Amino acid sequence: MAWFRKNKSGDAGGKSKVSDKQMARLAKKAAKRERRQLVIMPPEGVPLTLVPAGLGGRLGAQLLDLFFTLLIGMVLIFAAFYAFQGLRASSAIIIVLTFFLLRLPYYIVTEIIWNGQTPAKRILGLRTVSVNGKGLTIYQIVVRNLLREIEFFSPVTYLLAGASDPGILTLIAALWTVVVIIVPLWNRWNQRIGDILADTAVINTPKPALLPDVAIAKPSGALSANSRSSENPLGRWRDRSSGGSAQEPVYTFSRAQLDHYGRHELQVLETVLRTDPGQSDKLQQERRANLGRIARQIGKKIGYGNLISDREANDFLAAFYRAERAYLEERNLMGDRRDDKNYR
Amino acid sequence: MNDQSKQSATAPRHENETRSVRFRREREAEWEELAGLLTRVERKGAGKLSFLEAQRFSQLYRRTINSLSLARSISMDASLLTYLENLSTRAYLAVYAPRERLDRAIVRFFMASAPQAVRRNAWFVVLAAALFAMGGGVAFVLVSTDPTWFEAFVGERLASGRGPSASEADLRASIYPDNAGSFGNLSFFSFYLFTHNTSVAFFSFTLGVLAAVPTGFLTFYNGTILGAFFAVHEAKDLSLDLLGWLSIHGVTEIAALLFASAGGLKLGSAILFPGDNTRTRALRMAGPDAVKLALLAAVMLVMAAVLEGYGRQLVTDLTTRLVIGWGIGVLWLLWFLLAGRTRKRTSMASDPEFDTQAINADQRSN
Repeated sequence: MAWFRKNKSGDAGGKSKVSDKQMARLAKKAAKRERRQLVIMPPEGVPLTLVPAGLGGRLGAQLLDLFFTLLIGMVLIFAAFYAFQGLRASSAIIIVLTFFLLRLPYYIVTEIIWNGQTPAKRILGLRTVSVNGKGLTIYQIVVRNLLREIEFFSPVTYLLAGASDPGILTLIAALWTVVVIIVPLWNRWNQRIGDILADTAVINTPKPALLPDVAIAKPSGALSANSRSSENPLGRWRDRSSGGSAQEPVYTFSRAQLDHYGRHELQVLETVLRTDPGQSDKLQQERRANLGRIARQIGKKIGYGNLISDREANDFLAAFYRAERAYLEERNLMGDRRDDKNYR
Repeated sequence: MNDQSKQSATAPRHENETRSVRFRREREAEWEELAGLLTRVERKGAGKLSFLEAQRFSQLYRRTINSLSLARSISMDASLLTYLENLSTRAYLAVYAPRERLDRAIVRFFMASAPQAVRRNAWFVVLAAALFAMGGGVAFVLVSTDPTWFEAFVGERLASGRGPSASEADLRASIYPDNAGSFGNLSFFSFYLFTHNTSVAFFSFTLGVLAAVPTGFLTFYNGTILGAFFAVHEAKDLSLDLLGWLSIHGVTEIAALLFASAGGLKLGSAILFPGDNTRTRALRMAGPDAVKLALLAAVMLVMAAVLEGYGRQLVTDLTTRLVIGWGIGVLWLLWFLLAGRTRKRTSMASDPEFDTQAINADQRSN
């Protein structure tokens, strides 16, 4: 709600330093988020924006997969030792071979079957995608997982096995392990070397949820949870305002009034209107007070006066949102893009 | 268009609504339908859809992504945009899933891609072999003239007592263990050797990215280890026995190392000589073949480990060792030379008439 706060300080007399700093910080944050976004171009020609998985998620998935493979491997090894007593003599090589033979197929097969998801990625909601916009190919899956073996497991196995032998290979292995850990920290999509070579990235699987449109909601209905409760003080106002047709606007705004804001403010208002305070009375009251402050601020700015009470705020803001959106969309169609209130 | 007029006729109360609201109302059902199909595809795979459902699925995907494009230009509803973006992305990921079946990919790798990659990159393999041989030759000469060089080439653990100071009897005992089948501390040694060789193979592949220099060095260095061992055994007149001892798994293992470094050299040459491409692009183009070589090396290393685990200690007769080791080597060679040759290419060389017929047949069937 930075736009709202900025209005306030603007009224207090010129732009204060704090708000400038805040704006700069917000802009920086937004720019960072944008830079991190992964835009892929599917063959249909409509760019899709994906959110790369964070470092924590990736690390968690790696550890979880490691745990799974260790578990399976150990079960297999104990079973093998139990079945063939003779194997115990050459246990070390059997163990290394089993893990090697298990790990690579584990990752490759699951990613092929589940379209870029290992069991851990499935649990944590991550997914491997191809950056080039075509589908993942088996080649890409093989490369990124083969390189995991090369990147991480073989140097680590080597270090564990040959650590007491400080030769040149040990040095290379140690350096390499450091490089491998640094690479995902340094690039914007947290790709590891295997990802870079295979041209893949790991993303958070998006969860589509279709929310009700704020613009079609009946005045003050369905928008807020508090309209459901019977002791809602808004009820009286709603009855009065929707005396005629349900769709008839009670509040009307002129073009000059709607000219004050742009797309960004509209979308912030949308978020504000969507917040669901839940059943708690305290939170509901807080929301109402908040909406009231925002409504009065807008009212002041657009010359509606300072008269909107907390009770009316929801209706007012919903009506304002509808009018503003219709207006901005119309302007947009005419080629007049207004990204935010500073569009001029 | 038809739908639109019908709806506005039946629902006059929407007359005054915002364009983006109408946009959503008209398409919402399709999106929900796609979301329903999508959930099924993600849970059970696209193979479980019926033909009509699959057709509908791809149709809905295209319509939804079209909606997204439209919504971006007309709608200011942030949540709608997010929803469409997420839905389209999910559907895109489901529609453009890996298409090849796993078993076919594996069969194709062994029947065609791997040997083809070896043949295409024969010169890199030859280069790796030459570096390896050079290392071996240099170390052999140096250790033969001055045994103290041995320490420089072979680490203590790798040597495990079989240096120049070892007696002939010791060396012979390590080549021909008294009681065949008892692994003893050799098990640990072979484990060490296996991890050592695997790491060398992996490093010589990966470090190829650094302009091929580390790969060349590692290959050379690996050759020196072998050369040094041979020099020590030659001094005791045991080199043929060492060859037998090594052959049984070494032919496969050293071939694997050579393929790994050939892959690394391929990557390195893409960095050094990108031609008309950028280096990244050249690296990506070199990738498929290099990765095939690396996979091949991994398969061969595993085979070598199995041979080592069983063969080396169980088969103690020199001739048998040589026959098994090099016999397997010949089999590898035959595979690389013969497998995955397409009929077209051979026929082009031998019988152009046949080939044009085949092409015509292809065109007719298309």
